[in-house]
Amino acid sequence: MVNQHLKSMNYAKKVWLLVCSLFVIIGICIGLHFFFGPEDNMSLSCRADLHGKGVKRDVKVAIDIKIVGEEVTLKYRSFESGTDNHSMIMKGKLEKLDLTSMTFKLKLEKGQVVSNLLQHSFSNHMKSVIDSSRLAMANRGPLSLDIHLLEIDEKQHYAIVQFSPDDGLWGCDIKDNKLTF
Amino acid sequence: MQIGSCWFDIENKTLSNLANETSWKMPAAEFSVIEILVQHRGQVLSREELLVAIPAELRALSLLTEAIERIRFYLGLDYAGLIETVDNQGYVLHSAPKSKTNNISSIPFGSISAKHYFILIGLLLGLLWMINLVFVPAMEINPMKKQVITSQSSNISFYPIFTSMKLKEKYQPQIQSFIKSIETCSKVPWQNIYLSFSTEDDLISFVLKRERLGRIEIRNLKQVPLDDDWHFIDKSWLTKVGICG
Repeated sequence: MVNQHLKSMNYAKKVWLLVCSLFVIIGICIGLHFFFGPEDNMSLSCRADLHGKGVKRDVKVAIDIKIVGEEVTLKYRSFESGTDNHSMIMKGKLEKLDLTSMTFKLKLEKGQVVSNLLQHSFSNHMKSVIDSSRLAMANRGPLSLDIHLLEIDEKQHYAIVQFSPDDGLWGCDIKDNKLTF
Repeated sequence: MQIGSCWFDIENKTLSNLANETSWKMPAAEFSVIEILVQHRGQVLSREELLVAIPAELRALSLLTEAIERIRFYLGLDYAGLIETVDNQGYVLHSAPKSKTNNISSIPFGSISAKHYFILIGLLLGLLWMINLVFVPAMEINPMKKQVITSQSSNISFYPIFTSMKLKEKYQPQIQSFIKSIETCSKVPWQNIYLSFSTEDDLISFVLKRERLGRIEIRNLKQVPLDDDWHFIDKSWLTKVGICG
């Protein structure tokens, strides 16, 4: 009877030792990930030709997105013959990188508009973009913006992304990508 | 009389291990214990009954326990279980070893019982579930649906991307018109065309992709629609913006 009791105590000790070891290992992994894990960095640069009624021939629009850790900078600009007309620069935070849907969820907290002094007024398109962003921020606070990665090829340095809520589609050059996919 | 791999010789008071060809001349206490156990094989004998069988000068519970342990040691690991301790009752000598309890195969710490093993597995699964809840919430991936457009020169993979079915259905006629226009092109220098429409900005987005000399080339077009039905998209427009060659 004494022997059986001793044996069962040994078994229990061994099981708890295994379980405790497992928790310690997991705790170390989680700690290492949080304290020493690589920062999420990505830079995207996207250019587009703009066409439409009232749009001048050589007008282009561009989005440059820079994500360094949690900090996000988004620059939307229109330019003509290589010269910037207007830019809207927005800054905020990367709330979450959803790996299952490959979506960056951003919260843009502040923005500013930079204009070329030689330009008299905003183009219709730029005016529309600035106004909608201003309205959204003024009424609802930080602007929620999702960037959904539809396709990404790091070797070829490109990504195709879709923005939400506006559904804009862009093919972009990847300048820097240190994401932990 | 056979006890496991040993032969018990009552007359000579020896226990001989046939496996390793050793013989043990049993001391009085050990002999008395094994003798009475053999006589009552399969029956549980209480400690008191066993003590009575031992010579008076050796009659002590501690000595009985030691004798049992020595006999078990001699029988070997495989057959030590023939002498079973029955809790609060005594001891019994079995004819054959009991089938082993359901142990999972040996690990460095020694084998664990099935019950403990399944508790461990259950804990692990619970832990994985908790980690999944905290760090990786489940969301659906929306794959792009491809259509193939056959132009006069090549096949083009076309991806109309709409974030809602309602929007997709609303612009279905415009998409079909676009596809028909592409089909009339004599040459389309792009292998993939992606299309999306932004109702907020009132802007059609095109992403054109091709592979050239091992490198991927991407071009973006943004078009403010000239009419709601997109009738402006014809062969001349496609050529003007570079979708058709």
